[in-house]
Amino acid sequence: MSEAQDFKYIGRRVVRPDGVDKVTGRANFGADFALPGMLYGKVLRSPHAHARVKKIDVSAAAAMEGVYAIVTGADFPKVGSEEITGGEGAGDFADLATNVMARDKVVYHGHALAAVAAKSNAIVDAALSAIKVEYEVLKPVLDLDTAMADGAPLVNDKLFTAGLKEKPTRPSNVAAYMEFKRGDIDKGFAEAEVVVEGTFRTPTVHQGYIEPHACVATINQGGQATIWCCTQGHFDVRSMTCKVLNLNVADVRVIPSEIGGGFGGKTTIYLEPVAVMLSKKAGRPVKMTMTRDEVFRASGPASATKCTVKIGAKKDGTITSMHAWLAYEAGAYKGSSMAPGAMCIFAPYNVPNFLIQGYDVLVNKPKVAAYRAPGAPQSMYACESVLDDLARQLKMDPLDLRLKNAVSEGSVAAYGPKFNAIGFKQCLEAAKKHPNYKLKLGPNEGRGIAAGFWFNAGMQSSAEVHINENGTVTVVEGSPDIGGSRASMALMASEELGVPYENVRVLVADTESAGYNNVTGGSRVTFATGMAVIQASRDIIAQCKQRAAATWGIEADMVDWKDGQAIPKPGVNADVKPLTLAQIAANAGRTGGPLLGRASLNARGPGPGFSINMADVRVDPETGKVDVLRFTAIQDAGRAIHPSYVEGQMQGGAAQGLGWALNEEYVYDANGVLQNAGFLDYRMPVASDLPMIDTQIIEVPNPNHPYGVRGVGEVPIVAPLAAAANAVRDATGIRIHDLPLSPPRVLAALEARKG
Amino acid sequence: MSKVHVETRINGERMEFLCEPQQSMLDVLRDNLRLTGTKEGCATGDCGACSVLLDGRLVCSCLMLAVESGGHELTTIEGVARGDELHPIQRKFLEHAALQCGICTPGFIVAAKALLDENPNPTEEEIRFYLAGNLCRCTGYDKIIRAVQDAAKTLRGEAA
Amino acid sequence: MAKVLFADHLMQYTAGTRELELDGARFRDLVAQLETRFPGISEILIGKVAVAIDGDIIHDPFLEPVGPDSEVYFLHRIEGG
Repeated sequence: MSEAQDFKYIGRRVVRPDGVDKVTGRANFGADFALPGMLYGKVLRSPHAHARVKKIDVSAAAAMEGVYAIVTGADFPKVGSEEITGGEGAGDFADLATNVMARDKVVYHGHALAAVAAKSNAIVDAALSAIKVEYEVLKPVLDLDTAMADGAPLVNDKLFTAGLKEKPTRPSNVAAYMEFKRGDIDKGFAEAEVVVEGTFRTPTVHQGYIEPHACVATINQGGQATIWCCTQGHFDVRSMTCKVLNLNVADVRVIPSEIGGGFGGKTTIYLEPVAVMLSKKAGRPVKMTMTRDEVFRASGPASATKCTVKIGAKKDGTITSMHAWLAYEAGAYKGSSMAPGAMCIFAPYNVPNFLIQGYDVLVNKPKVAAYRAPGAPQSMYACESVLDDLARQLKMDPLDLRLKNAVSEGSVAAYGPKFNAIGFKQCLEAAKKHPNYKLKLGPNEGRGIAAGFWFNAGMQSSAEVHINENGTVTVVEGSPDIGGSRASMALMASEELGVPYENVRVLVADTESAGYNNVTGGSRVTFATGMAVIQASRDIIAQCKQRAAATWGIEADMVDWKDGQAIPKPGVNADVKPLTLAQIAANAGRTGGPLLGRASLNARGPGPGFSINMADVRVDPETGKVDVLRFTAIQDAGRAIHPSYVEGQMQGGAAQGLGWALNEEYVYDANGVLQNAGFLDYRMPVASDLPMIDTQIIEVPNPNHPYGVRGVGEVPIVAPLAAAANAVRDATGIRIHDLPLSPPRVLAALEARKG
Repeated sequence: MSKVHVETRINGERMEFLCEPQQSMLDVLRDNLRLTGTKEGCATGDCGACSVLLDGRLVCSCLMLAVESGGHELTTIEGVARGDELHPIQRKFLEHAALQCGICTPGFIVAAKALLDENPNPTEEEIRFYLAGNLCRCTGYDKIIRAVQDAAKTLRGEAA
Repeated sequence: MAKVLFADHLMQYTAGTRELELDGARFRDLVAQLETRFPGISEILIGKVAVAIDGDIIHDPFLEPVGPDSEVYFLHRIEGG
């Protein structure tokens, strides 16, 4: 891969190929499908946060006219314990299966325990009300401190803490303990000239995708099923649904619709197996959609956390020691994002001595799911806030403090491996030089900076490139397009083949038409699926060279490919005209058959991503309201294939991070019932809350991708939490530790200082 | 309860349908009339994904009963483009990459149309507050605002 | 000899050993040798962890070539959201 490449198509801000359908309402999202004879399905959800299910009586509901099928846990096969690898914590398929449909116990308010399929939504609702359930209500555990205390009521009385040095004899709500160590932190703290510490809490938040979960499932009498659904990973929907229902993946076809946001929350399954079971019983297709209320109560939010960070440094800013104690709520089943959070927290820095202790904790709340850089926003919020306090104590510019300790190529990452080419220092330097960093602030205004990091994933992707008879190109891939990736795939195919972008079409194909693909997530699509598209394009070029060589009567290794044409290599004695892709395609039948290129891979070496964010805020001393005046996101993208969509990821992640910092939180009552299960009271940023978001894309190419691509989607959500909190600290002089920094909390802190 | 027969005009076309009295306009648009361009994000009027114009006025179709449309004119996303040509707002959304997943886009385009029909030269602040009823989780709003500003320029004849 | 390292939480399978030197042309050769030293460990190392070979993270390497001076780091598998 070359350093400074002159690209013809890469980097152009082209209109995305699926754009017209999306601005005219033609594009089909999860709830937009219908099939003849379709029934409507809905889930009955637990009114208790913790209870044993003694008896479910569906007789009255089953007798209603228009009701075609009812399912409960008894209809679902028993699924043995098996680790779900990947994902954000060691989840278990047995837990996934009981999360989809409770068996003898319900473990959070909203937990599914039955479902009905009927001719209309009105009949479904009436039938659900007619189902009688006998519960033995149990005491719920609803917060980290209670859950971790000795003698706490147990969410799962058969769960023993994994990862302890001594095997535990008593069950616990702590599902796992994990430690990361380097050197000797006590020695490091002893060497320090300044030590700063803080304990921070972040609330449960939701990914907030505007499109609720939705699917249509149909299964025939031969056991062959088709599922249309909005998902980030249709191959995972297939494999997970088959695990839960004990079906053969060969018999289940999953067709991904367009997806209205996921951010990690649509990398698992909720409705799909239920819809399949209802369809099986009813003999008809079944459509299921979640209401917004259900999305909040019963999908997978992001972990609430408690993080304590202690940092020791010399007077010149050199860090000598770091200690982090992290507790993450997993919800009612084990597997929070504690591990990645623990691995990210000190990743931007060279730290000679550290200890990171992480706890995965069960509470009677919905099982958490991934949310954009899972675990990192919470843990790095704590570290970046303490670093800010340290900079103040050292009277050092916070960017300089980070520069002093910044990792670069060759550094050993806190999570273990050596870093290859990375762009953290470049982001820091860019921030220092950025005009926004020098702007004057007014009364009650403050500025905060923070760093962000995410590993980014590689994993498996497949792609095919088909050349149509007129030389136009169809790219067939299997990565649901959540943010404009079709455009990037087309740009990469264009660049490789040397044909205009306008000649390329991209299809996101279903599980029976595309080769296997891992999920659209982990910031992996432009990197890994892009790599597959590039390789499939190169396969086409190789075939074209052969066809041209055969046509000209020379050897294939005497042919070059340049600007979309086959030409003889310089020095080759052949008096022939170049052959364009269109000409070769037109003749394909005569020279060997259709032109079909393919590639499949397990992508190696995604480039880790770093960012620096700057937030300027004004705090209203009378109301505690925090207004974001200015926000600057600087991030290393490796290579921006389509700069507008890279900027879009940076701006969207910033908005989510700011929402997390300033106003979003799940509010539960004492019985574990979510109080704000709607957009009115789960307050996400709206257009009037935010300014324009300035972006600067740094490009330190990732040597493992032909064009230098680094994943960009997840890093943007990490730094805004601390950037905003540090700005509030700067504006008010007060360090408020618990998020969100909503008006009542900020006001209370301001009043406390007055009093 | 027996169904109600409703006669209305949608996107300039005379339409009639049968619906339950308690069905929302959103449900009827999507399920009965198969006009699925208008989206459901919350069904409680908080997200704007279901935005339509009722006699030119911006409303959440999830907060409107279908029976209320009788004798009125509705404009949905399907009626924004003029025949074969995209509306300038739609073009500018594409040029500015003002959509990522696209689920909020129909609602924003309808809302932006209502704004610019009412106020052809809005300030950035006016645009942000007018569109505050439309939630977007992907873009952070930056490129949406720029697209609307650019569309306003075009509609005023100041740019292409 | 390739340098093989284990993240802290994996050291429970290596009797507390953090670092080893092993010979092998491919990843699976290293795993085979580790299995001889720590019986049962291959179940964890194949399919359940991520591996960084010379700083490049791969999920599920098996046939990946390993150089004579390579650094192979076993770590927790991350997917993302």
